[in-house]
Amino acid sequence: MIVYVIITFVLGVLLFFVPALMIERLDIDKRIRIADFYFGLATRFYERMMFLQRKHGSLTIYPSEFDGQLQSEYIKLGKKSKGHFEDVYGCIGYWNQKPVLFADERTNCLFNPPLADIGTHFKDMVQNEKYRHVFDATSEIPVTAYCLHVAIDNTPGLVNLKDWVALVSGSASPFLCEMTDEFVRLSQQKYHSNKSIEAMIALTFFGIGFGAVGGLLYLTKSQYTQQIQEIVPLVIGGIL
Amino acid sequence: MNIIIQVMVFVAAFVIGVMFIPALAYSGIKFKLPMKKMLGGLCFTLGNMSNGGSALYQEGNKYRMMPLHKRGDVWHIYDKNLKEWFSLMGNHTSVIGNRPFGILYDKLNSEPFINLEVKSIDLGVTETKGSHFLTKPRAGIPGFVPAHYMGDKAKDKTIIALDRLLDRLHAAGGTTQLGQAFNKAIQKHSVKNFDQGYMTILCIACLMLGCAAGYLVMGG
Repeated sequence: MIVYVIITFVLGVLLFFVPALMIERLDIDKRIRIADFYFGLATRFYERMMFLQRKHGSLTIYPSEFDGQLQSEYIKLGKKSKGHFEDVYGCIGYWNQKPVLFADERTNCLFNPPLADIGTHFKDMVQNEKYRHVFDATSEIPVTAYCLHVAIDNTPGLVNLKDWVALVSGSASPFLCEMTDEFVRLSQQKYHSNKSIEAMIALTFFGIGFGAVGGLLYLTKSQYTQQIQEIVPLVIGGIL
Repeated sequence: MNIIIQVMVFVAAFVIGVMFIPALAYSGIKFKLPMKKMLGGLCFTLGNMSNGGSALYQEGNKYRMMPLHKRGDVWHIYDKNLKEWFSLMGNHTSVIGNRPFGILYDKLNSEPFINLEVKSIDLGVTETKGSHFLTKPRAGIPGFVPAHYMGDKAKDKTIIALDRLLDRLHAAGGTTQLGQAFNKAIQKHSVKNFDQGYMTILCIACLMLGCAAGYLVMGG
């Protein structure tokens, strides 16, 4: 009897998934109502919701928390490891009264989709030869000048999160467009230098092991055999 | 009588099964992180599947979810209030739960841009250079405004003054924080490879290999 009750219970749980699987047959308004119900449940489970853009560009949702002491947003990646993301102006928006955040794994920064979009537009502008103007203002010295304005078409558009660039102040250019690329380059540089340090540490430990065992064997076969055979038990006894 | 009780038990089990996940959501129980991630992610994925693809739409500092659908090469969103599909610019979508997922925003009312583009700004346009307008030099560097950002040509566009936007970010401490964040991120990456567990295993493994090699070489 109990087995059948459990099976019925499981069937009930499975029924919860059915609307999402059978949705193709319903009209759009009903689909939206069902979707809103599921999204409502999702936001109930999450206190703060973070859309994390991974290094390879895919998007993942994480329940996020705010660390008041460090004043930064974090997600738990494992039992002991945390991913911290620094706050940037205007990051938080709300969905069903729950904070929604966007973070980028490449930069460890929270970002704001509209600002990311502006950054991308600006990057396109200055990188595109059509907009990159080197002209001679005084008829003598050529100067690279960037636009003071960015125009965005008023038609709603999907935000390019993959290529977003940071809005960083600079003296000559208001936006430092190469920041992301520079960041990647520096990270890789550090990574490769770390790899060489890692190899050195590995070699050192290998050398210690080799030296200890090899040395001990060498000594046991040499004139010191007698003394070593007497000393080693004493040393071990002393340590214990 | 027994049969009636049995039927009631089965019906109750079935109803409890259906209501199980919603009941957990509304129970107020504080779940541990993996459970929270699993249940929340599951519901989000089901929502995205129900929509057949979704777009997170930002209006001011509020978000709402809209169905997202591709017709031909153009993405469309459905506004449930107007009961109409609208075409979108761009092709930038990701995938969540095997369904497309995109983000877009209200360009006229988005928080960082409020009052930036509706103010009358004196650009100090002095002369033309080709098809562009030169502006007052700033920090010794002359700026320019492309001609197609001005006048009638700008009607269908939102014009963002970059320096004013930057001032706003500065005032909020945004750019400084971001610069610091970049530095911190680079530092974090530099120590990332020295993960404690990984390094311990590496050191012990190399030590053991060294011992084995020493033993073999010395013919122990």
